[in-house]
Amino acid sequence: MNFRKISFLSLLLAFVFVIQIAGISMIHLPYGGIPLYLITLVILISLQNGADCLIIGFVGGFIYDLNPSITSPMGEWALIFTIVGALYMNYKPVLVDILDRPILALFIYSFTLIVVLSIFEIFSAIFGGI
Amino acid sequence: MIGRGGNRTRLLLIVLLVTSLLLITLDLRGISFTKASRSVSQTIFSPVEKVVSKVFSPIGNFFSNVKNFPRVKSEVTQLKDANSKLHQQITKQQDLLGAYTDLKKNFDLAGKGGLKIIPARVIARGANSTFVQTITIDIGSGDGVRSNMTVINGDGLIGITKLVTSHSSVVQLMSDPNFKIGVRIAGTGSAGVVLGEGDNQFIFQLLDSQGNLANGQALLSLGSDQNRPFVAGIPVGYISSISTTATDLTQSAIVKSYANLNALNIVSVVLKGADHDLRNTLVPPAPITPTVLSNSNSNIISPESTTSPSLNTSSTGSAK
Repeated sequence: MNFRKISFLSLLLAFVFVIQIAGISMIHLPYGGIPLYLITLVILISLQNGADCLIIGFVGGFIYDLNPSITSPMGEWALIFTIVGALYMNYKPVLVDILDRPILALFIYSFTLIVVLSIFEIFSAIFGGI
Repeated sequence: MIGRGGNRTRLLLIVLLVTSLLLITLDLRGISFTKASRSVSQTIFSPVEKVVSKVFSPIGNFFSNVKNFPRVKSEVTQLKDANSKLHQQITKQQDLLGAYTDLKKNFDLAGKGGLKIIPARVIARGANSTFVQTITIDIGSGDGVRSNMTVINGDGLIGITKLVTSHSSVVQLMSDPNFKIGVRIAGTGSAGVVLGEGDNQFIFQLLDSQGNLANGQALLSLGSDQNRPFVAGIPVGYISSISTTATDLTQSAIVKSYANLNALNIVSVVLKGADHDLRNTLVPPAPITPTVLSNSNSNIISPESTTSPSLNTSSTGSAK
């Protein structure tokens, strides 16, 4: 676990988070706009190895939990991305070859986002508040 | 496969999951820590958000405009249509208001003199082979109009009907150079003739060699046999300046008509004159004009009658 790397990535995520809530949200695109932050976080998780996937997932989820405009309970996104980090940590050796191919990687990331949003819906149903 | 990261990774995963669940539990329990963290994050991020927001707002506005363009375009078209209709309504209402005002003045004058009139709208203006100054009105023989009837508006005499068809009539305006009318000076009774000159100014020739002319004297029609072509007592005009010279055999003056012959909308044909002698009943009131006093309070402006048309009772002659 590289503390400097984690710090740098956390700052990067914070920057993307600001872009997401102050920039993309302002564009008023259909369905709330592009989930730039979620895409960035999934990509960053997929690029880590071992326990870094978990930490980036947790930190990234926690940053997203700080979004004042969401009504989900604090820690829900941290929980979701910790799970996603755990999945990537376990299946990274299988996905290595696939992630080298852009089109397949795109497919994997899209699938991951679907999983993330599905988990979010399930947790929201359990914990309440969307 | 989770065992691949070893016990430390497993422990880390458990710790992170438990931490997340703890955060959720605290939040659901209503612990203020979670709310405080969101407000702190908002405080930290808000200056950056403002900057980013400024950068992204033109893009956001662009997308918003693109998204709303068809709706906005449709709204603009609707508003333009509505605006156009409103303009039409305003024009129509102004026209109606003008017509109403004219009509009211016509009836006021006719009512004051006990005249039976039929109002008409001016539909054309111009000249024909016989007369230079004419108007065409939208009533004719079908409405009881005959040739050589007096035509008035709310201010006074306009002219006389000349060519009458079933639904329209040509009126010779009093400004026509061939137009002549016998008049008397209101108050003095001195008679004279008013001649058309082609505009709103007329020549008045006094027939009474002993009569006196003064600016502002009102002139009323003398009337004709059977009230055709002229009904007696209709205001014709007022003396605006005296043009008599020492060598002239008769006194003459420049007369201005009461009616503005260049702005005619609603006029009335007098079908029946008054049953009694109108005398000076229809003389318009002298207009009030402001006059600056010449005394020490020179800044005070008081309403005072000036050389406006008025009933001159100081001249010689008796008002009959």
